[in-house]
Amino acid sequence: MIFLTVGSMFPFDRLVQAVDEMVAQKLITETMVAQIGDGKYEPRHMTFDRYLAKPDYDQRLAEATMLIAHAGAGTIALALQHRKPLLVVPRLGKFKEHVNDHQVVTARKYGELGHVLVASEMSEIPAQLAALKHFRPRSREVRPQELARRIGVFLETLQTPGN
Amino acid sequence: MTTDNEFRLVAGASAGGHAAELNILLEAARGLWPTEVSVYITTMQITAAGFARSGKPVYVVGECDRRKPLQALAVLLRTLWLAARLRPHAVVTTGSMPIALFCLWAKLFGAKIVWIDSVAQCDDMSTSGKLMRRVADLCLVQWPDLAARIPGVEYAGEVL
Repeated sequence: MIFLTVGSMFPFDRLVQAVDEMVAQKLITETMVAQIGDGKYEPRHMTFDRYLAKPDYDQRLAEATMLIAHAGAGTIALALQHRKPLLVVPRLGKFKEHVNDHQVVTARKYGELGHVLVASEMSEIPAQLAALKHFRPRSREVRPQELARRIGVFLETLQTPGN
Repeated sequence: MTTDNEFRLVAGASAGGHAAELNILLEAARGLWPTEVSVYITTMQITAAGFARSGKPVYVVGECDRRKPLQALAVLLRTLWLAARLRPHAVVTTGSMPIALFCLWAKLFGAKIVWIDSVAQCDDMSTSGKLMRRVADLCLVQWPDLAARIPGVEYAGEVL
């Protein structure tokens, strides 16, 4: 099963429609399940939810063999946690899919680091999905405690009132 | 509201990825900070519910996007009112612009500001981050090469 997810903040009709049409044209033959937010386009060739509660969302991630998503840093982190191969498609500002094109940069960066595959255009999706079958995402080392510790050191320096 | 002798630490994040980053940071900060978060601020009700689970007050200031000046004005006024009312000693935030506006007001009222630019900003800082670089007392980015290139910002780790 391939899980397509666009997050809950903004719709991503261009991606949802492209994938739905690829299923219709048998360019995608695996079972597709989608989470589409409040997009206007309703898929006709795959089952979908608009929003998923966290446990249901996590279950979809766990069950999926591959993921397709927008290039949100949070979604990428989730895919890596679940060790799932992820194909990201960046949202573009010109289609009002986000406030700007920062997802293009996010996609490129995480792509270069070997964490995800990237499709910059919808037409690249079928070939990248074929590549995704053999893609082993590089795991990512993160240090949230170090970041928190640095902030803690700063907070320690602040005078508490009355002292 | 908090009592007068309590250190008032406000944690703020916009709905979506910013809030997710703040949650990871606060989880990692358990036991590492000298003080607990006393108040949360965010931009949408859906995110407020998550922060409310902490049992602390949560204020929603609304979203503002550069394409909608009236909305931005509303957020500017709401954040002013809130900063005047809360008078935080410190603000820790993972962005974005509406929370940056709150930080500007809070700074005028004497707060120290910790800004953490989103991990999604890997080639350059966000628009609000560039503004906050000049305002924040501690400004962090989550990519080492960014910190090496941009004066006045530090890298100390990443949330995801």
